[in-house]
Amino acid sequence: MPIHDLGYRNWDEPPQAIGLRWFMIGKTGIRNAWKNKWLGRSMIFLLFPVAIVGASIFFFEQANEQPGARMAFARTLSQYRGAGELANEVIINPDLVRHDVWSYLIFAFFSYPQAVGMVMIVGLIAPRLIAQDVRSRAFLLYFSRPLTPREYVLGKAMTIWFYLALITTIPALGLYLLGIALSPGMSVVVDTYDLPVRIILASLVLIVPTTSLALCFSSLTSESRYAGLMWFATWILGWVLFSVMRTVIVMQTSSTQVAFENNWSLISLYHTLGEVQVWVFGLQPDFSKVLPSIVLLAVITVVSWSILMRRVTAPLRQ
Amino acid sequence: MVDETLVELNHISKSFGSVRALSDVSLKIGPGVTGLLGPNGSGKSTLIKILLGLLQSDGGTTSVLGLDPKRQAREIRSRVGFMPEDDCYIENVEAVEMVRFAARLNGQPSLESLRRAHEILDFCGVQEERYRLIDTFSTGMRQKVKFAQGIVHDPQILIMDEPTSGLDPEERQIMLRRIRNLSERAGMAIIISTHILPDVEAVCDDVLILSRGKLRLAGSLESLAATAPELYLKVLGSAEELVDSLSRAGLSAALSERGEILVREPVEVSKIWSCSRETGVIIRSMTPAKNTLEEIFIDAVSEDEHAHS
Repeated sequence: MPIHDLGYRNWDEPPQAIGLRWFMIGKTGIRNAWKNKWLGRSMIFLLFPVAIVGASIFFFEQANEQPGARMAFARTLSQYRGAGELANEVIINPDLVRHDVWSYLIFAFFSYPQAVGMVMIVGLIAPRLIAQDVRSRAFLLYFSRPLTPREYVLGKAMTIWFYLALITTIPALGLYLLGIALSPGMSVVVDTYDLPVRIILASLVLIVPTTSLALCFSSLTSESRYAGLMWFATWILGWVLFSVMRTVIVMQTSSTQVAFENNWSLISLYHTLGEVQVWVFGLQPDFSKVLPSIVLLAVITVVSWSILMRRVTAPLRQ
Repeated sequence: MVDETLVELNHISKSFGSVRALSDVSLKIGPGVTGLLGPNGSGKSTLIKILLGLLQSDGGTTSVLGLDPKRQAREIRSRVGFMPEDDCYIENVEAVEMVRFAARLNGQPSLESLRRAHEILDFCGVQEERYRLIDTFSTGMRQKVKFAQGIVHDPQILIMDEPTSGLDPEERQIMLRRIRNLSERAGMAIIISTHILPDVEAVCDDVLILSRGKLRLAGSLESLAATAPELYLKVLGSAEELVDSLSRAGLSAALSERGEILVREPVEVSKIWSCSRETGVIIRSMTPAKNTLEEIFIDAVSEDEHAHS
């Protein structure tokens, strides 16, 4: 017996408040996920786009002061999909379209690098989260404590939310605040006051359905690699199918707009998320066009969550 | 059997579809160590899950530490520890982290949970291995860590499912000593669900035997073992002669394999002495026969099987 072995001693202290047990699970998940070296590397890599968007906002504000820079900015902006009209308005009166330009730049940040990065980050973290507990039969270790299955799932979801917020919400809000701090006057705040709310909403659109789906996949198997495979297959197959359909439709109608106005985007989760985010940032004012995408994301969330809860509570029903 | 009741079940039933896991079970569990015995599928695990509030019974009432598992499951689980049977653990964490995590989930403050985790791992005999990932542990080591996570929050009741499975004989003895120690010195009530009957004989005060979802037998180990009204006689002289004499006197007597005489019901001691005097065979000792737990268990289960068939 080691000299420090005190034998068994009773513990008489009052326990702490029990409200945040899901937070403990989330914290442990975050720490465990960080042990994956690829996660750290990917996170660093995904912070580079922040600099690009930051530079773009800075460039736009400079363009307000200098007509030469304004032309250069408009030319660059016009090369991006759906931004032609906005580029023309920048040339005429940039002050009037400040809100739309900032929205477009932050939407672009969410939609291109960070959405792809999200697929990668979630693919690295989520497959193990529940599949590991299924394999090691850890459910009884959790649920024999004052913890409900809902808190367990919430804790696991928190792990994903944390890392996704680090590459989406927090940099986007940081960019906004930096833009405000470096802006020439208070008019910028007045023009863009609603952007933080839109950033948070866009983050929720990105994070909630994807987290539910990823955890659902993880709960379906005891082998995390299968969950990972399902996750990546969902995105890649959707993307490929959408691209094929768009090419076919474009060839038939000779119009690139048709594909976007068509509900074909529903076959790709990436494009469905994009449709809703466009609306969230105010770049697509017609709600009826976005409604099917919102319904699809809601259905994915609800169905994933139901399957997930059923799988997690399965050992308690036997 | 029970002076102070910690767990009380009244007419508990539970079915899974057409399978009846528990049928009208009523029992009381008090302090000390209680063995929960029964063949596979007898309803032990279902009973444990009902006690922890993980499953809800179809009928009847349950009380654990005076609380109702249907409405106060959280509070019960904060005061009850559980060591599951399965080889279950949390992957990719060190043993000390897992025990600390268990303490945190039970509401211990951050620093205190770390101190307590180390203290309990010392008690459970996990030394420097505590800094290794549990995935790399042997079954026996995982068993110790499971034990540690079950008691880290100092529960009033500890439920252990097959606590000695996977342990080598020496570790098994040490584990049984720890269980006894917890019960006697820390005042923890312990419920052990196991198939290993010598373990029950070694540490349990009371026994509950379940079979086909019904409670077949309940009582203290001592009283159950002494229920057989039989006597073993050790004699000096011809045992066969005394057996004949006892048989003629109307007693049921037989010679055992060990050369002792077994006198079965009805046992009339005065007749035995008379026969001894008549035959001149000297009785050196007369001891009441005790049933082994194995015999008690087999009797209880086979009674049920006869009734079922």
